[in-house]
Amino acid sequence: MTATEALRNLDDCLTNLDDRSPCTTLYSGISSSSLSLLQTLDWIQSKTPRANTRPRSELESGAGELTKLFGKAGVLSQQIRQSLNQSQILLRSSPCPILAIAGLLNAGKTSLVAGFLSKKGRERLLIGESNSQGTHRFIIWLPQVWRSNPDLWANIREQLETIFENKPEYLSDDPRLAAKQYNAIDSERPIAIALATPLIATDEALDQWNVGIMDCPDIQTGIAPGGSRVSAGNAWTANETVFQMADTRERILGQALRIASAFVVVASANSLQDEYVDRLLESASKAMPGLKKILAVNRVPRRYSVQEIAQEVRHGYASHDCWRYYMAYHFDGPIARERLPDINEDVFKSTSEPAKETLPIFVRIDHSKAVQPPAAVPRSDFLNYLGSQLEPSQLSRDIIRVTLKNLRRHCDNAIEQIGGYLALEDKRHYRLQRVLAEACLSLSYAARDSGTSATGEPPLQVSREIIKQVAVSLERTAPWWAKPGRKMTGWIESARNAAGGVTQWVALPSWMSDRLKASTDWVRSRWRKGEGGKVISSQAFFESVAIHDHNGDLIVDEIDDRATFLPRLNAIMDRFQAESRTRLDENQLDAYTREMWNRMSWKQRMWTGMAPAGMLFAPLLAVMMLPMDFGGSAVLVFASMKELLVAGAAGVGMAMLNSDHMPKIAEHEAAWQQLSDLYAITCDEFGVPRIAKDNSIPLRIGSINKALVPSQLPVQLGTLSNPVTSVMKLVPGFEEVMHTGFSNLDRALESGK
Amino acid sequence: MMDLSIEFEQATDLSRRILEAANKLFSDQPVLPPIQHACSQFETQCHDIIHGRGLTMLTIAVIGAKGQGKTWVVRQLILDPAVRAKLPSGVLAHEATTKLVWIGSIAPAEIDTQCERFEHCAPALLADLSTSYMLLDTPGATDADSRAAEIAHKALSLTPIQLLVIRRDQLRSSTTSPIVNQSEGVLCLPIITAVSPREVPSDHLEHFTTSDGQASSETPLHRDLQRWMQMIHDSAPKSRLLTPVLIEDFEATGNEEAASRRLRELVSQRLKSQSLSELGETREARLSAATARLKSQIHHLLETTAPQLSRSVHRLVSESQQLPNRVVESVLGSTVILETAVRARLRAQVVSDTSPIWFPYRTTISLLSMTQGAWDRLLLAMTGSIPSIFGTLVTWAKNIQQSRKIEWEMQEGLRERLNRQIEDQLAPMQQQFHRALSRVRSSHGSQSSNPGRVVLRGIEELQSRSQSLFESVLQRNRASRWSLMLCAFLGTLIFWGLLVGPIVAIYRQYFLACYSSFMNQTTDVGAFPHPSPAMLATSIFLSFIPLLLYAMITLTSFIRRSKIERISRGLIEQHHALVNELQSNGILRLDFEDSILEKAQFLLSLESHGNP
Repeated sequence: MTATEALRNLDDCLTNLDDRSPCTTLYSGISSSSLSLLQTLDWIQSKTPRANTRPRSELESGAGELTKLFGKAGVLSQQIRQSLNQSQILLRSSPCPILAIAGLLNAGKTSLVAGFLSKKGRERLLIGESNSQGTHRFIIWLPQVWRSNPDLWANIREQLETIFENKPEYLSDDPRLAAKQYNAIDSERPIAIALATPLIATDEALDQWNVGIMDCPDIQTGIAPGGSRVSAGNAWTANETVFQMADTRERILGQALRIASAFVVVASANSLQDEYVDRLLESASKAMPGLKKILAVNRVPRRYSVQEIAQEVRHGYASHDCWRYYMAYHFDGPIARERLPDINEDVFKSTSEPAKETLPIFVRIDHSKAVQPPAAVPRSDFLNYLGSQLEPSQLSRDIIRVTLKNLRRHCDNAIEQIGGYLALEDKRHYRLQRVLAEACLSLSYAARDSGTSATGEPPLQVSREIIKQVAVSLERTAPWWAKPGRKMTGWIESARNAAGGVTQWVALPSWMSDRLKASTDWVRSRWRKGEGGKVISSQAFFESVAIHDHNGDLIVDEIDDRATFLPRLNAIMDRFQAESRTRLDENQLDAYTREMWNRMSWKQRMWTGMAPAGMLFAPLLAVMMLPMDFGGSAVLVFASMKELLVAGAAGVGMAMLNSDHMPKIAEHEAAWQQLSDLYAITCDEFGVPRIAKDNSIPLRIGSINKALVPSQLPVQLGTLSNPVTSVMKLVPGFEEVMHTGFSNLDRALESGK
Repeated sequence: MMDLSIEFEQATDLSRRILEAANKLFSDQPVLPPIQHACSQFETQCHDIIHGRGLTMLTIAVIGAKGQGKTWVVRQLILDPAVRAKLPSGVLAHEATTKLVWIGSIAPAEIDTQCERFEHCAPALLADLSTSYMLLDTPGATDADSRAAEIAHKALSLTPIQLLVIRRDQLRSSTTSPIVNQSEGVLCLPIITAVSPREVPSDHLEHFTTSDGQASSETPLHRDLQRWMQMIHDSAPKSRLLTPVLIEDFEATGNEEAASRRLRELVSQRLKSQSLSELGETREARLSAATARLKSQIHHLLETTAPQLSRSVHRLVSESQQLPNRVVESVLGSTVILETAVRARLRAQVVSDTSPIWFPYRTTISLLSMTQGAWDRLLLAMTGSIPSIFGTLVTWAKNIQQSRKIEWEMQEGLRERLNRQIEDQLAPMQQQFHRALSRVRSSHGSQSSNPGRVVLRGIEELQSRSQSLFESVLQRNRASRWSLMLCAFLGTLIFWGLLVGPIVAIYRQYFLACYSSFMNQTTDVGAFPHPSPAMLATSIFLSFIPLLLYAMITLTSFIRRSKIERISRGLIEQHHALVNELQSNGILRLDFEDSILEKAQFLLSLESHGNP
């Protein structure tokens, strides 16, 4: 198997859906599916879009450990994709190694690059210490011959695009325009965008070594090129703005270094113990661990000997494991000029100018035979000859090896992160189930607190089904004297949809409809105020969830989340009203209503017999019409049987209130079943698995613990947005499959295929 | 100038309050340690600024990033070769400054030998700055040795005068910004080292300007300097910046002695141009800058680590600020209530200001005033219509009831409604804050803590001032006395002018009958006038109708709509102004009797506060 085939297999393993997928979704509402590694990471990322848009520090402090992972998922997936793409490009491409020249501000990076280029190429460089001469772009200088190879050229462009996530641009042949491009003042775009858009140039002087050079911007600049002010805010903001610019440069550099096969870090002698040198070397090691790193010390005062500097860098930067050290003396000034190396003519062979006067001359100082000028420095010790000592094929192998190593590292990291995510998700599921169960129960609590139920059990939710059942029972048990008004029962049924019901009222004779309307309005106003029952709107439902979501698993910010949650909660209440089939026991209900008829005084009987039954059933109709009081959105109405009939226009309820001798009715069992249904629908809408039969959540009601009963309602995932959680597991053996893929790749590379 | 000891106490008190609030709010959360660190750093800075390590002498620190030439600058200001020899400078590690080095005649108090040393140098052997001073050499703020860098940062608050050293090629570096930000409030003399001899202007920037942004020259060096100075000014607006000193790259010129001489000369020249006795008095500015920095730091920390908490508190505070105005709108902004109140009061004023002598005009407008809204029925009632009489009486009763209600609204409405709104609107937000806090803490325990009340102070004052305002506005807009008298005179004239005919006729007949009875002694009693009641009633009725119509017109003109609307608008505007005035004076303010919320509000509003 060749390396390319092995990588393709690995690619299949990471990106395609088959039995080698790492994750299986066990619960996503109604079906299960498998996700590839990258899909899993993307999925984790997409599950929590809002978490990723919030400040990282908030996630760390506010929403707990789980959310830390959400932020990383996107980065991991991006890293894997980039490493995978880059590996593919590198494997199919001819060797095209690039040497990255990074360094501190005004350390002499571009001057070093100039030493590798032809005179023509040098004219397109921008060298100088003022801001208007600063390098604010990544410029990739490539051998001229590479451009004549279309496949190679396309691969290089593709690789650059993969790494920078922006299409590269060409450096102008006109030195004036090239200078503007270098200085990022050739267009109006923000400096961060300009930084992330690489420039490509070619130079014939690089043809001999077959190595490209990337001239990198520094990571310290805090003042943008051009003329804008740093900040118009306060001192703190101004300071932050300056830092942000430097941070952006460092971040993009970390990304750009992935294209390099070797690095040269240039530092001025005066910055030898500066933290930024360490940061640069660390960035290189982090981006491409194991690749060659060279430290080049520029502008060394001529009072120092080669040995002193060599000892200094060897001692100071031993931990960075640099491949070589070079130094260049400060080339200005009359003192001790004998220490400037006497360069061979062909070190800067393509220049006609006295290069010794204008460009630093770096000589190697890391070996024991390092020469102190004026002794002649061997040609091989000049940094300008580095290209001849670098084997392009070896550099290419190095970058492929490190890119694959990075890929493996990112994949291992991804698996570890997914494992951690799933473990935390498991805990979160249970918390979410509990939050939703307690939120549903507390709605009932609120109703119970209205003071009409003394048992501590949740009161009945007056669903349409219950209303219909009570109305039918009232009609069924109505005595002969109530017959004239019973016709109204039919109207109640037709008033199931509140708006329709209202139009029917209008059709009644005015004396009758006025009384009916007044009666219904009275009941509605009482219920709205929480007298005789409790009306729960989606707002109240949200409050209930917010109160119980201590950890912020569902609600991170009540102000932001309210708007997105209310439609969900409305949908829950709509579905509950439409699907709840919980009924009271028919016989008990009939006994209850029959007793109610019997308890009526003669005066009430006379009145009730003459008045339409709707007067008696005003509370039932009022419940139907309550949603209109909340702008047409769904509501839940909690009330006991007593409360449901207490406000009857006939005053029957008043008689019942004073009596404890009404027949018993098992409304609490029905209420408990309703609560379980409401909880089940809530879970569905939020995409949270319902409680398994063998893993119930005990809810504390008063002094007793009681578990929710399983709901008979079918699982139906909410359609408004993504579930807030999902139950997944790692497919056993995926890691072995992945590692086998990497091992095949390693073998193929070792065998040179 | 405020007494420094008081300011120091205030600063340390601020730090203590911040710590106390943070401890109470975040207990063991990750956000707490950075706050504690910031407070501890602030306290050290305050101590250093106020006490200055016991040094009575002016101290000049040389600060900057790593490798900019700080120690070289220090050495040039020391004329004693022995002391200079003890201060190596160069690129090698053993030449680097890793400790604070005090150079002068008196050692500072509490020298920590781990990170400081003192080199004695007689004042005469320091470069002449027209006053005796001490020098403080500091490590590079960007030293790879984190301990040395920390020492460098701590030194930033020690001295009132700082020489900020930076190489010319580092002028666009971000490293200077935090250094000057940390030392804000000082007198800062920038020293730009390693300037290419080609770039050094002949006048050494004598005419360099920074304040108006106009460059004296358009060379790259001037442009870079201007932007750098602008950056420093933005990062440390309270610092006083002097014209930079440019030192050429002596490696390039090969003449270090000339560079040294120029440095001494220019530093002396720049500092002598200042009043050196005043130079030391930067403590107040530095203390104030350190306080502002702490506030910004805490604010930034909270905004980034607990934005939901911050938003819920801001919302609560903003709501509480808008609440009084909204309530004023609801009480006064309602056209029904306010215009009715104004109309009723103006009507009453018209009646009360009309003298009883203008009978029956006054009686008529009084009647009309009480039956406002039922004048049609009043007219019909005069024809004897029983339903109209009943309707008029009902309206009369309603008007009285409404007047009482309005009276209550004006006296108690603001207070009642404000209290109700606090209950209805602020209480849920308060609960929301506690839930947000609970989530930040990621714990269940906090939820159980019993939140206290949110109280709006100054409602009584608002209510009483509102009433006074209402009275004074009505007073200003009451009808003038002469216009009332004129109208009353005309009304009375109309009535009596019309009724005078029957009265004169009756009296004439009466007088004739009297005369006849005196003169003739046989006059029949029937000669005396005996008009029928119907005639009298008709006369009165016919005289009253024009008066009634006239009274309707005058009363309407006194309470015309445009006037009522103008008064109402004025009242609303003045009430808003009143609320704003009371709020800005701190009379009308929200008090959290909820200690946790109060502390959160204190922390989150730190940056907007003035002095603590």
